[in-house]
Amino acid sequence: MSRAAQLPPLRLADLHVGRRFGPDAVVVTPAMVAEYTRITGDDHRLYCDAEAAQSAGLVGPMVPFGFLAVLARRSYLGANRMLPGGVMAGQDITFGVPGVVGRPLTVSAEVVSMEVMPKRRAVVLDCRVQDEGGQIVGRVVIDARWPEDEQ
Amino acid sequence: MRPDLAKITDQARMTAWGELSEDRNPLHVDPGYAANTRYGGTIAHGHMLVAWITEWLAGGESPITLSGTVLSSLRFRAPVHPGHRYVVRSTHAGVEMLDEEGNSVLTAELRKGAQEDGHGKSA
Repeated sequence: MSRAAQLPPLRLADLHVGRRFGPDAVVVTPAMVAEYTRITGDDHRLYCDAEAAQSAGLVGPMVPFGFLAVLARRSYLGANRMLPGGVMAGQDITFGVPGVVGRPLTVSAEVVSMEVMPKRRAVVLDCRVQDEGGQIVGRVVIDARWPEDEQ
Repeated sequence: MRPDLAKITDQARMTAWGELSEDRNPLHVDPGYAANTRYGGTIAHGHMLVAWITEWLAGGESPITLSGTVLSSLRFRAPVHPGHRYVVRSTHAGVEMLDEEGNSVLTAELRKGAQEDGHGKSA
């Protein structure tokens, strides 16, 4: 059984407006970036070429901004799994300073609203990814549809 | 104006994305399960589509230029299925993704915003 399948689900009963998740440390490794580029086809050299990154003024290869939504999801589901039926309805994404591959990032989230809908709830989470200096790498406001807990 | 970006995914990539993102929702990675849902088959992860959008945003230039950009009101309007071709293109307000019939499956507005500090305040 995979690690994710063993994780406890994050249920509506576990959520309330103001609940915070994290901060948790996450490192995006070169292997993860290599897999990212293989899957998406987005293979810009700044993601893997240290020399090119330094020439561009970066400390090292940058974490693709396209990885932000994954990190945002991890900010509130790092120790849990989503129940089947949970879906993302929308997002607002602000791209900040580039994160650096292999260096720690901090992910955190807060539930900012919950609204009743037929058979599910609209849950809005404000997720942040920050670098070692506390600068915002990205901020993702996620509008999720959460399945009602089974009785 | 940025050039259009065409993308096709397949089940193997979607399953690999599920491992990378740790989002192994069967709706994305289990064709047998997904066939019996209202979607009729697996659908791509929303965060993988965001990755396509960021590639289009950079437009072949340095992805550093995305710093300070705000992608707002991003909405997943229809499912994205493996084996089909999708095109990311600019709109008056921002960006959209179209399926092979020209239907919009994703839309978002785009603007250059102020940088935020670590406390969520505009610098």
